[in-house]
Amino acid sequence: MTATVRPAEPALRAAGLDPLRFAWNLLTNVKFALVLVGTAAFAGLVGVVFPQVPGPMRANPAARSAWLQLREQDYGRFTGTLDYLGIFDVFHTAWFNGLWALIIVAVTVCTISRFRPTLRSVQSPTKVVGDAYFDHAHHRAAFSHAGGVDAVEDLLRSRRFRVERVRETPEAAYLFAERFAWSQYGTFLSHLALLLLLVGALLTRFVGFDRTFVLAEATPAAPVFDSPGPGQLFVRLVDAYRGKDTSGNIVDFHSDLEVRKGDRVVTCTATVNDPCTAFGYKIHQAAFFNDVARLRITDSTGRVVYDNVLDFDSQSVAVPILRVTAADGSVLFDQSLPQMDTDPGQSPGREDDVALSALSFPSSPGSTDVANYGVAWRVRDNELKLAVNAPGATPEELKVGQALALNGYRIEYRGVDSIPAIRVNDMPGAITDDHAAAVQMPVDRDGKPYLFVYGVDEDNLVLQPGRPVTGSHGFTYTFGDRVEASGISVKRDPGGMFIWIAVGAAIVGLAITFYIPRRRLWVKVEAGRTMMAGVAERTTRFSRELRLMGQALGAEDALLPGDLFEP
Amino acid sequence: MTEPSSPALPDERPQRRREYTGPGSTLGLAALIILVVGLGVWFFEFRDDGASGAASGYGVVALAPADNPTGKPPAAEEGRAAPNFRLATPDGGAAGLADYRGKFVLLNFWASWCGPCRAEAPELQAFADAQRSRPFVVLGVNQQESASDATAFARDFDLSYPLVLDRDGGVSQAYRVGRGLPVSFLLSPEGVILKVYIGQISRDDLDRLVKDYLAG
Repeated sequence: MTATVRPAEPALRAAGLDPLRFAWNLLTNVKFALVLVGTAAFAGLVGVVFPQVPGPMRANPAARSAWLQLREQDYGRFTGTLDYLGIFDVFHTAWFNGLWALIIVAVTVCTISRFRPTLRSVQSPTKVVGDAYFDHAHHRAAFSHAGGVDAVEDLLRSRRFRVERVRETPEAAYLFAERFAWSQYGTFLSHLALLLLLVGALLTRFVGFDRTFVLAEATPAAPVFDSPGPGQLFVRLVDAYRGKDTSGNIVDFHSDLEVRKGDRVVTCTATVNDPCTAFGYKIHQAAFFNDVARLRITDSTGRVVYDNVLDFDSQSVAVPILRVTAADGSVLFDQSLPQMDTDPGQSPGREDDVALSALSFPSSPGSTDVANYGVAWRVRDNELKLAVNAPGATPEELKVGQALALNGYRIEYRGVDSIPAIRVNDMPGAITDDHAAAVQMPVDRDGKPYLFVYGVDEDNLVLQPGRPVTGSHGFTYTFGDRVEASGISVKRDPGGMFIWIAVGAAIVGLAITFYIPRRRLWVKVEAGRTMMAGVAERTTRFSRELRLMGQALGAEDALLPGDLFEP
Repeated sequence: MTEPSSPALPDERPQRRREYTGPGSTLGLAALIILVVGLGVWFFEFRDDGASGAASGYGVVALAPADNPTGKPPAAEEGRAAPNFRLATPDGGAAGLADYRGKFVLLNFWASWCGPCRAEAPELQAFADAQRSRPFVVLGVNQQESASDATAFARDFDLSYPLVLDRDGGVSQAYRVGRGLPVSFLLSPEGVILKVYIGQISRDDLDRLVKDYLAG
């Protein structure tokens, strides 16, 4: 006997502490995988139950600190500890992301570790078993029939088994038969699906993009990303469209867009469900606004000092709709009355605020003489109640639907309108202390929008589309017109394809695993007796299936009581 | 055919995990696959497509050590040398920061889509006019818009101070200016950043600028 010199093993391995082996064993351990997934699920639950720092505040230390101070009302002295542990920002903590990285490594290692054994099992199955196996296999049957080994082979082939005669002795012939060998890959496919799901989720989380913003017609193209660079996209709203059917029902929203990246431009149309695709991004119509006004102001030298869109952003004010008719029945005024000022009343709240305005109309049809009346309204008892003031007359409070006669005019309070209204800071020419002006956009009796501006001049300004008005301070105000705007959603989800493939792979993999089990069958055919033993995963009645094969071969001793009973 | 001495028993659990056989053939394969997938994601999602303005000769330009009085690399911070650049102008010419060496420069990053920039532009033009006799210039850097957009903006607001076009956003990146426009940097005649103005520059800011730097 020759003495052999074994190579020295690393100290760790000699001591049984090989870290790579340990890592392998850990990462391929199903229990460890379950612990990881369970921990991640629990962490996700923590992130849902505990309030999380809002995204925009995350990068702003002052805002974040203020947000945490608010949390102290609920969590008291534990607030600091919870914050230190990342409980208020679970999904962005290093430990949470590290946990998922570990899960990905574990799933990858698990999947890979099963691939080669699976491949070997399918490609090179054990075809020869010892005789004892026919006596001890979990699924087995023995019966006597005519026809010998050829009959058995024919039967198995008729049942789509791949049959191989693997051994023959004078006393017996040994067969190996197999069906659905490929279904062994089903479990592997399920593992692969899980891996693809994780990759897809990671891509969505770190590479995906989703931003919604508002674009108005007649405004320059707006950038999509926060950071400038060669990849920056610009989107311009060429036309926002709201289609209506003959009954006035809205049937279609779409936006004609121009998307630019560098010098390349793509023009397309986006709807809510049919996005346009440009430079790898999908652009959906997310909303539609028609309460946007274009206002341009020039100074006395003609230089533009203000040129912007006023996005009323759903802000509005409730105003009365009045109709004034002369004694001969001619209509002198029939539209919403914009609010000009507010009397704040005595209370610091708004409950006793009174809106003030002036009702001006031609004293007769076609006349340049104007009749003026003061009008005030306030909300009382959940109703907008109106009073018209005239010299020498006692103000009378009107409810919607009521009318009063005044100096030969009939003033009818027809209803309440909600008109777009916004306060504009730093409005050139503003005479208020805070340099702000109030702008409303009612429609006239012909349905055309106009701007009503107060706070920029001693007189209020009424701006008709395209007709400049110069105030006493020398500024000229031009209402471009009401423009339409769209909420535009720009999205990119590179993980989406992976997730769809993963879902498909998971369904196919699980279906194969559970509904198409691989069947392996070893058969020993002696002169007067045939013995079958087999493996069919997730098939509890495979023995019965073997006995039914015996019956099909003509054996009278194959079946056991109950075999023919179908559950 | 001879009977094998010890026939194998069928593997009842064929998908059993593979035993550890060494780092290369077990963990190594997993590491290789993770690496390949990672490289694939980087290649398709994060790789710079190389479409920068450097190829056209415009963009950030290295600052000669002799032109850097701070001794530190240029950075968009107060007290550091301003990142040097050369960019196209809307009329097809070129201009760079070096052209204004010896003057105070109010470097104003703007875009026509930016509301505060529109509000700020008349104020800046008036200020530039008022400081014409002093060694001072407003230099507007348009962020990633076309020459026609910049020209239309300048025409609308009657701007006469110089404008340059940061077409690929490289200079904006160097100055760490994102979508949050406008942002302005006051540079000393030596090219050192004296002050950073985030957002619309106010009348008070400009008055203080005169008092602190130009009035003397």
